[in-house]
Amino acid sequence: MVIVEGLTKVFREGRPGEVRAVDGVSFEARPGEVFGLLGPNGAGKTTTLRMLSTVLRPTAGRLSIDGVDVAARPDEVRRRIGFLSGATGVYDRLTPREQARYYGELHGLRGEDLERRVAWTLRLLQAEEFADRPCGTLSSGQKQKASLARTVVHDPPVLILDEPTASLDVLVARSVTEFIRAARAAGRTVLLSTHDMGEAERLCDRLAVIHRGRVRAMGTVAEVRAAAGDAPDLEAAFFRLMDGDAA
Amino acid sequence: MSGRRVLLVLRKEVREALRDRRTLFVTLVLPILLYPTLMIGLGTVSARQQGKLREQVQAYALAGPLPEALRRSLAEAKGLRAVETGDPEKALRAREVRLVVRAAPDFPEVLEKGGSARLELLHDSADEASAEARRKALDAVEKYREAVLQERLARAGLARAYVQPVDVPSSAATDIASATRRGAHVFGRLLSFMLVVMMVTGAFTPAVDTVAGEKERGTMETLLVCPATRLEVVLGKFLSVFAVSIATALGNLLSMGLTFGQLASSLGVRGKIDFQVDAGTAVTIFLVLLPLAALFSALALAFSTLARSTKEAQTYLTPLLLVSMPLSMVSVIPNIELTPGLASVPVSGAVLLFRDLMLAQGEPALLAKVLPLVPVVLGTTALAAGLAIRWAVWMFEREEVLFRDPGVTFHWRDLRPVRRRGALPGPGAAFFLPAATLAATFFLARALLRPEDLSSPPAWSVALQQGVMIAAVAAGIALGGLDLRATLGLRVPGAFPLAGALLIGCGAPAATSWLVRALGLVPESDAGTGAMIESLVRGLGAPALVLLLAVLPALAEEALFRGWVLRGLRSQMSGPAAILLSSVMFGAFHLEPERIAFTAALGLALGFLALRTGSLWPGVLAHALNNGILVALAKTAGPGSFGGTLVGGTSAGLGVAGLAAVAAGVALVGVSSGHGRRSSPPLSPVS
Repeated sequence: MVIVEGLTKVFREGRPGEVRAVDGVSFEARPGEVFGLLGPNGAGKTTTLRMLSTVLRPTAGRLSIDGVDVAARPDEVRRRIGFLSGATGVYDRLTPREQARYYGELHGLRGEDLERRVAWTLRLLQAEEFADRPCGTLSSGQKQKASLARTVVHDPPVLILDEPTASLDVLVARSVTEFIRAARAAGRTVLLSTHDMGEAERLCDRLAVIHRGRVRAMGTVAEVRAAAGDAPDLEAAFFRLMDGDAA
Repeated sequence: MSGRRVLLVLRKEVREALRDRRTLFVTLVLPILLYPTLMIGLGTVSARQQGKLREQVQAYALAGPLPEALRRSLAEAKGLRAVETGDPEKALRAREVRLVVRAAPDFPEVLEKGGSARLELLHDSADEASAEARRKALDAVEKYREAVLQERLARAGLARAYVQPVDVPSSAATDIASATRRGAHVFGRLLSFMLVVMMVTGAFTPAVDTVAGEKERGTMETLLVCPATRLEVVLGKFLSVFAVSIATALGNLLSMGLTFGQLASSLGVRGKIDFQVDAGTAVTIFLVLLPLAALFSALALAFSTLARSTKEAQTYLTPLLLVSMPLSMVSVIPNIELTPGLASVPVSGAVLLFRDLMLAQGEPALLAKVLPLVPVVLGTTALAAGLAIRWAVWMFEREEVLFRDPGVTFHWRDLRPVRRRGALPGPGAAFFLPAATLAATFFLARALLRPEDLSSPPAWSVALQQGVMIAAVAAGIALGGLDLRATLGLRVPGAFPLAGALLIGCGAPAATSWLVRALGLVPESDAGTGAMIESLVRGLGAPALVLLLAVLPALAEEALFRGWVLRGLRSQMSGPAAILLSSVMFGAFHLEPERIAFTAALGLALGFLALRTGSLWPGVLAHALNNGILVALAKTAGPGSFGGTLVGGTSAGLGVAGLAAVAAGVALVGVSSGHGRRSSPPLSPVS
């Protein structure tokens, strides 16, 4: 369960060049649900996810994950989330298995528990075949799987994925999508950002359209279309919402 | 904090480092392999060339009436060959001969009369063959001289001892330094210095990889989201850098020590030089090495955290080396003693301690003097290392450092003066401009001043530096597109701040000179500036003096230090830190070690004035008053008194009164300026 209320982030506050990257965003994502943040580049999606993952401190607003207040107990929050950053990378000189093990250990797993979780995660992501090769030698799709393995090795109740399928070929993108569906089926809360309308339409149970740091519409795909004056599809709805903002 | 997670991070970093075979080889293995090859190879080649020079035959020419016996003695000398030439000096310049042996025209007569005849060995000291020819000729001349002397003594019926009433044996026979000490003297100081360079570079490579590298590869964000705290992550990474730094230092130390030992025994033609380090010394050095490596590792880690990419991180190696090299070079500068004061200077203290420990080997009396300083060096180095680690952690906790804007590339067209409201210089610019001003003044003065001006500089040359400062600030503001009013603080001050400035300006001369003297911060002499100012004071009238030495410096230095530098620093740090740092820079800027404390103390008060009032003008007033009073003292007190007045001549009563005036002024400014804590306007640093 992710609850976001009036979330605001201002960069360079009180200085020239002040940027209001996120401006009063509120939404809720529930267990067993894939919630999408849809918006163009620079809309504030990544900043929102970074605040949820505790790496950025909000200027204002309240965040809670799995019932834990993010501002008050960031360490507790970090145990409960798996965060895949947008520009995620891998350790070139470690193998996917070592990398997953490293994060598992940082999350307090050890011994047989750890090995079982690592093996399970690699199998789930169909990453066993290249699990023992140095990440530096892997293709970009394989690297993304290695990143995902590291993100979910501790089996967190909440997954925060920043553009998880961006720049992946269709095959890898599909296995990532399948992985996300599996997580939903297992009762996890999945929060993801995307600028891909098709992906949002296929994958998200509910979504929030974000533009210039604000939520322009929220709900199921049908509800968002309705909010945009009965747009024929999500893409049309999206453009109408953007245009409405420009006008 | 969990030690387990620190160890986890450490283990992963070390594993990665060990897998990076190429870097490992280039930074660790290669240098260790190269020292023996390079140094011994170089030594052998140079020794062989030196030997060749001895064996080669150098041509020489004779000039003037040389007695036959001297000619014979020269002709018998090995490796010399007489050449007939019409113009010996010309032949020497053309290197047709390497030496001209020229006897004075009256040589035979003087010799005959029992006098001292003049014999010149014309040579070219910049030509090795010529220098060698001179050495060989000197030996031949010595033989001849001894023969003449013996003959004269025999004729007079005197013993050899008659002309040598005192016999001083050669240095080699009377040197009490052991071979080890001599070796330490030659190689130990070099090793101490090289050790620092190796530790800095040894720490830098892994540090760059471990933070800037993670940022660049996109793994940092993920790491920050894991349950490990920032402190645990930094400590883990720090320990891995520390380990590599120590390993590099030890590896290099071992290789160099062995090389030097080998070199020493091959150099020791007379078998009197030996380089070795005994176990006790090695252990003590290693103990001090630990906090020193920690200091460099933490600094390297902090720089790496600051950087957006590995490339940017690597550029920070240069400033780190530029600062640590002079600090460590004290070991090779002659006549620097390890005092308790120097022992507490980070890096320098350690390097001098290494040197002295090696020199004290086998000398219990010396060791007893050095050992008490070990805890001093250990303590101050550990303190510095602790602060550096704290700084690295602090950097790691700041989101604006971890998520800096992706590289803003500099382009010359950025220098177009596009005025941005409220734009201030950044901290980099704050450091750059004073340094550039110093360099520009130096080169201008060299170009414009005649040598005789240096002792009594003309009036205009004093204005030169002030002019350069004002021009530099103006150019910086124009080219950087900065806000003139905000950068300099061009706002009209209230009456209370001005009154406070008046008190500070009047009290400062007495207060600073008394304080600095009372705290023992200044040596007795103050010849440089004092003498220069006195020569000006004698030559100029009061109005010109006030303009040249009070008003102009006040305007220029306030604009540069309380405007550009202070506000540039303030954009990135707290007010007190900015005031402190700008004051130290202000003191160092005057380039006279004796006066740094004096000037910096003034800078503290002026910095407070500038930040608190948000205006340049109170500082200008106080500064001009301070300088004016000092000049007036010099004018009235007569020659020879300025230096004394400046540092020594203030009585305690006057000093306390001055201090009270400054304190009252500061208090007045403090309470009257309802300007709040953040007295500087909105900031927008540019690099």
